[in-house]
Amino acid sequence: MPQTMEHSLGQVRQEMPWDAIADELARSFNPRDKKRDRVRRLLTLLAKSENKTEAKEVLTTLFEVLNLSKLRFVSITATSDPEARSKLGKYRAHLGATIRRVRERKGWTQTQLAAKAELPQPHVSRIETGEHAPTFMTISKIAGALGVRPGDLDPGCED
Amino acid sequence: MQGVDALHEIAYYSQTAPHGMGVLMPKGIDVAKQQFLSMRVLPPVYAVEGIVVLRLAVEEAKRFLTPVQYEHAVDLVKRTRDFNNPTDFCDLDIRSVQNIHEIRDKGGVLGRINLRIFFAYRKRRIIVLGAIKKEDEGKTPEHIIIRMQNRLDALV
Repeated sequence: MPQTMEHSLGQVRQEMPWDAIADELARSFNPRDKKRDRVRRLLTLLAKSENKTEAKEVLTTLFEVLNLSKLRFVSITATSDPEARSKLGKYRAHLGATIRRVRERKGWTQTQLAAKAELPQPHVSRIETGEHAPTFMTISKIAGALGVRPGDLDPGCED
Repeated sequence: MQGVDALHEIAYYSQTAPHGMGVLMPKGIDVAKQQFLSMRVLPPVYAVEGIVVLRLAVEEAKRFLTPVQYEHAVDLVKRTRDFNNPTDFCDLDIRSVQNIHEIRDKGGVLGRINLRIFFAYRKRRIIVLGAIKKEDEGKTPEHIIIRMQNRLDALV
C-alpha cells in the first residue's frame, strides 16, 4: 500500500467516532454478555492501533468475537506428521550429543550439570538422549552452567 | 529446623501462587530439597487428566510453523501433562494473564519465531486455545488475550 494511502487510512481511523460505534455495537448485546465489554475494548484498541498490521490483527479478533460459533476439538497426536517427527528426533539427538560432549569435556556428571543449571537430573538425562523437548530456557540454563553461549550448543539459539 | 520450615513455606507459597505454575524456586536451595518438598510433602495443586486442543489452534499454529516446528510445539503442549508436577515443569517459560496461561519459546528449531501457545485449565483438563508468532519479546497484545478468553468462554 502506498505510504500516502496508509497515512490517510490512519487519519480516517483517528477521526472515526469510535465511542459512538462502540455504544451502538454494545447495545446489541445483553448487558451481562462478556462480549459487550470485549467489543468495546477491541474498538478502543483499534482506534489506538499504530500501524496497519496491528489494526488488521485487532479486526481479526473483533470479527472472531462477533462470529465465533461452534468450536471443535482435535486429538493433538492425530495432527502429527511422522516425517517431521523423525527430523525433529534427529535434531534433538544431535543437540543432546553436543551437550553431553561439552559436559564430558568438563569432566562433569549429569548430576553436577543438573545442579549447576538448576534443573532436575532426569531432565538433563532426557535431553541428552534426545527424548525431551528442550526449550530456549533449558538451553540457556545448560549453556550458562557449561560456560558457553546457547548458540554453541544449538545454532538455532544464535542472536 | 527453622531453615527447613522456611523452605517448606517457600515451596508451599510457590505452589499456591495465583498463577499456580511456572514455579521457580529461589536460587541456593538445592535440587534434592526442591524435589522432596514439592513432590513428596506437598500435594499437587493441579491434576491433569487430559489435553484437548481446539482445531482452530492447530490451524493457527500450522499457518506460521514448519512441520518440524509444529512437532516441537506439540511436544511443548504434551508437557502440560506435568502441570501437577512443578519440578518437571521448571524449565518452561509460562506466564499467566487471568485464567489464560501462555507457554513461551523461541530459538532452537523455532529459529527466529517467538512462539506463544495459549491454554487454560478446566475440569482437570488442559485446553489448548491458540498459538501466535510474536515479532518481539514484549508482552502479549491485549486483543490476543481477549481472543483466547472469548474462545474459552465459548467452550464453557
